[in-house]
Formats: sequence, C-alpha cells, structure tokens
Amino acid sequence: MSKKGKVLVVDDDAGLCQLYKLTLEQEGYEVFTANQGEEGLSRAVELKPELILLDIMMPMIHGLNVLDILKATPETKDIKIIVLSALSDEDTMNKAKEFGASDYIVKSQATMAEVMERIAGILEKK
Amino acid sequence: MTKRKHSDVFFELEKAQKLSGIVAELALFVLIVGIFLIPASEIPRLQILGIFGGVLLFTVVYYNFPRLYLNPKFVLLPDLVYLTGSAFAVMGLGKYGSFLLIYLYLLIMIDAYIFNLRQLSIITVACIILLNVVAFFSWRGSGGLPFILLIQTYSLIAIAAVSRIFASFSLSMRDQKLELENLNKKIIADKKESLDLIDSLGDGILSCDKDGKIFLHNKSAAELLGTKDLQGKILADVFSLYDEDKIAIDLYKIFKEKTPRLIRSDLYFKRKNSWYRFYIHLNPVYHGAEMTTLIVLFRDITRDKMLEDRSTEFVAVASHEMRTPLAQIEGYLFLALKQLEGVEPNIIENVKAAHNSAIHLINLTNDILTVYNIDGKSVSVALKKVNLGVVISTIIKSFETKAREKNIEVSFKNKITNAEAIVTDENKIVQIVTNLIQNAIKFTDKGWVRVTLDEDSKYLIVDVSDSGVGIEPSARRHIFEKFYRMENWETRKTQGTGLGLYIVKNLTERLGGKVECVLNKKIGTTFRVHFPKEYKNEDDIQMASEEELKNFIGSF
Repeated sequence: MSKKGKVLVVDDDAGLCQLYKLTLEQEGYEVFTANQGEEGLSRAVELKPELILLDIMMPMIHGLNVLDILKATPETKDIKIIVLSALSDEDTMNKAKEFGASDYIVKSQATMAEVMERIAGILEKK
Repeated sequence: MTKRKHSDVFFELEKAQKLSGIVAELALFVLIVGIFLIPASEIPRLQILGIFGGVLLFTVVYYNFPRLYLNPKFVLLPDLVYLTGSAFAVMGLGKYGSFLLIYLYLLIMIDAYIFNLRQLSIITVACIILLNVVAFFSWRGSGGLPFILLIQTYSLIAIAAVSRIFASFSLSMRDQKLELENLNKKIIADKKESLDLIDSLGDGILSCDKDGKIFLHNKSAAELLGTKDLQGKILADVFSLYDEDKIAIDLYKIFKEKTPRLIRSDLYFKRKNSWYRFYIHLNPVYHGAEMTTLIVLFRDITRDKMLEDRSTEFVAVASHEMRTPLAQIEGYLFLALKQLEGVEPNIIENVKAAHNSAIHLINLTNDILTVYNIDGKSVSVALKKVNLGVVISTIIKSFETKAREKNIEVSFKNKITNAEAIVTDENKIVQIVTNLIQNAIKFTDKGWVRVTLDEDSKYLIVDVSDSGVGIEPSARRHIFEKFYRMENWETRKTQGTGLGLYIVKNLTERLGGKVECVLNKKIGTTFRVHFPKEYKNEDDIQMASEEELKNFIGSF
C-alpha cells in the first residue's frame, strides 16, 4: 500500500478517533491516534506526521494550547494542523486561525467526504 | 328675561319666525275688521283693504314656506312689505292712521321680545307712544294729514328694519356660540374617549417634551413602570433601561444627540431589583432639526421572551447534542461505502440512502442552529479584509464533486478587473454564497449553474443563476420566509428545511447588504446579492437590534 502521508488524530472521543483512523486508512494514509493533548504533543514530536487533526475540547490541555505549543516548537512548527471541533463560535475559529491552524472544520457541519477532501487539499499544497 | 335653553338653534329660529308670523296675521285681521268701523266717506276703504289684503296674502305665503322665512337673505322681506304697506295705509287712513301705528308697535315689540332685544322694545315703544300722542293732539287743530304722522311711519320702518337686523345678527351669534359649545363638548367627549381607549391598552404609552419631561401617559405606562403618576417626571428618572449587558441606556439622550428617525428594540428594564424585558418603540417628532416630542411605546414581553427563549434553547441544545452522534453515523456510513466496493449493487444503494439521510439530518441541525443564532442575539460580525473573487472560487471548488454527480456545469465569471478586498465578515459571505449555490444545484437536474461577480459604486454584486426548475411568481414573495418550501411537503422531490434562504437573507442584511430573486424570463432562477463595499452598521436605524443599539450607544 502506497502511503499518502502520516496523519495524527488527537481527540478524546475514542469512537471518533477510531472512525477517523479507519476512514483515513481507507483513503491510504498512515494514521496514529492520541486521546488527549499531552499524548498528542509527544506523539507529534516522536512521529513528525505531515498532518494533525486536532480536537479543541479535551481534558487536561485545551486544544488551542496544544496548537499554540506545536506551532511554537521548532520540530513541529511545520506540521499542517486541521482543527476539528464541535465548537462553531467565531471566536474559537478566529483564534485557531491566528495560532496557525491550516483549516478549521466544525465536526458534523462538514461531511466525512468534505473532511477527506480538505485533508487532501492541504497536503497537496505542500 | 329668563335664559332659555337652546338645544337646537334652528328650531328656535323657526319658532320665533312662526310666532311673529301668527301675530302679524292676527293683527292684520283685526285691522281689516277695524276698517269697516270707519265711515266709508272718510277713507278710501277699497284702496286700504287692497293694501291690507295684499299684505295678508304675503304673510300667509311667506310663513308657510320655511325655505323663505328661514333664509337669512329674506329676513327683512316681511318688514319691507308690512311697513311699505303700512305707510300707504297710514296716508290713506288720515286721522285714523294712529290706530294702524299700534299694529306696527305690536309687531316691533313681538320681534324684540322673541329675538331677545328688550332695551330696543322699551325705548321704541316709549318714543312712539310719545310721538303718537303729540301727533294726535296736533292733528286735531289742523285740517290736513299731519306731517308728524308721516315722519313716524318712516321712522318706524327704519326702527323695524334695524330691529330685524339686530335680531338676525344676535341669532346668528347665538348660533355660532352654540355651535362652538357643541363642538367643544364633542371635542372633550372625543378626547375622553380616545384617552379611555389609550388608558385601556395593555401597552404603555408616554410622550415627553424637548426636555425629557413626561407630559402625557396612559395607565399602563404608570403600572408597567411601577409608579403612580408619571406626569411631569423626567423620562430617564422613571424609565431605567438597560441593554443585554445590563449597561444603562438613556433613550432620550440618544435621540437628542443622534437624531435617528425611529428605534424598535427589545431592552431590559429594572424595577425593584427584578429584571423585565420590554419591547420599546420610540418615535421622535421633529420640528426642523430639533426634536420637540418623543413618543415612547412599550410592552412587557418578559413572559413571552422567557417562553421563547426556553423553546428555542431546547431546540438549539437538542440540535447541538445531536451533532456528535450524527457526525459519527455519517462518518461510518461513508467508511462503509468505501469498504463496500465490489459488493452487490443494491446493498451499496441501501447504504448510500442511509448515508444521504444522515447528511440531510446534519444539514438540518446545522440550519436550525444557524437560525437559532440569527433569531437570537449571538450573531456577531467579525470584520476583516475579504477578496470576494477568491472566496467564491474556493466555494465553487468545493461543489465540484456534487456538480459532477448531477452532471451540472458550475462556472464562475469575475467581471471586476482589478478586484479590491472589502472589509466584511468572511464566514457569513461563505455561508450566503454556499447556500445559494447549493440551492441552485439542488433545484437543477441538468444544465448549468453560473456565478458572476460584478460591482457598482457602492456594492459588490454576486449573481447565482441556474437552468433549473425556476420559481413560480406566486412563490417568489415567500421564498425568504422561515420554513417556506416551494414543493408540497408530501410530494417533494428535494430534501431541505426551508431555512436556507431565510438564513441567506438574514445574514446578508446583517452585513448591510440585500438579496433578491431576479425575474428570469426564459429559464431557471437568478439570485442577486449586494454586498456593501463599506460595511456600515449605524446609518438610519430602521430596525435596530439590541446589538445595533448597543453599538450605536457605544459610539458616543
């Protein structure tokens, strides 16, 4: 199987994590998961994925903080990050963009097909 | 003389005229009889009888036609006839002329009494009696017709005429006075009626003068504001209004300094430490540039708002909670479809149907949440520089798959040569244009969807046209209404919530733009959106939301 790239999914919802993992694998990506922010940070440094799907509302570390740290760390600052959240308020969206997220997808506002398209689009740009 | 009550001036005049007519007839009759008592050799009896007969005939005719005796133009006619007749008769009667004069005095007295001119009657009668006595004695000495008798007759004519004029004048004065009184009474009654009506309203109404002092209010206004009397109080002292952030608002000051035409808004009102929701309608009255009166209409909507908030909040929370499981259902069905390649086609079809339904459900909850945000207060405008051409290109790209599936050609033509970015809310623009293109694709079976971007001096204009089923003229009026769907609910072919265009309209207006459905003669539908090049929020406030009002207040 020719891998399209490494993707790290950081989400505290195990079901959703599993869903994205399966779907992305089906699409031909190599997928890793992390169930909380801290784990996400360490996995990012360790794996150096091309792309991270990042949830916002997680226990321990807030997703926006994870994003901020990732973008401030030299080893991880070039990783494309798509924020994937249930939050649809403009404040959070603007903040995510400000912190350097490549895209912001509201969970369930976008269909899975759209999520896949956007991931592909962002990885293509590289 | 006692004051008579006049309920109807017209009737009064008629009565007076009739009475004087009857007296005149009676007196004439007595006179005619009297003529026969004088020896025929001493007077030209036939000539005098002719004069009296003529006058009597006139009297009978005149007083039997209200059109004559009630007409002010003819009010002097009987006097003229009587006195001219009398003058001739007096001359013919010679020494008996004095008796005829008695008839004339009687006439004047009656007139004076009826028309309420007592002084005139007393003076006249006194003078005439004196003159008459003098005449009678002076005549006894000489042989011919005494000169003084002639003078008397003509002066009587003059006095009678003047008395008539006075009478009709005083009557018309009385007319006017009574009319004015009646009018006044009617105005007072009318005013009371309208005040009663205003008082019985459940809404509060008050108006204050140019210094903010309340000069008129209804009962409900006092009740709603929790005071007994508002008269003379200053608006700001009794009407403590707050915006949604509980920042005090002085309505009067806003109008005084900013001179908007009209404000309608939901605001908070504080009374004895509890909060009420008021719907406020403010209508200032301007004389030139200065506001002279401010009319405030307000309604207690605390209860309505509470119920409304509760129900919309329920829908919003329910929709929000449904999002996560829905996303998973949709995601797994998407995955399943990917994994099902090579399986029996009808199984794939079934899963596809389930997947489509899941997507529909997701769109529905999203629409409901957007509408909740629009109807509620949480739509804020995040301004930044946006290049509309780029935004539209991106949106169109996201529809490529869907368009290909339906075999629809989606194109974009940017007619603006050197496009400048405008300051607006990108997310809302995306939502608006996406909704329109989505609709265009949905209602087009095959053919094309064309998007064009153009500009005029003030606006960027986006047209979204399709070659689809089009919109019937009868439906055109309703398409921007909430939950309106063109198709019959039971026989519909397309899925939808009927919220898309409602959202488009509201978001566009929030950005200061407008959306319309352009009449297409041949085929399909065109929606045209105007986005202002300069985002403005506080021009003439026609319908100010709380947010707008707040911005507005914050600006000074």
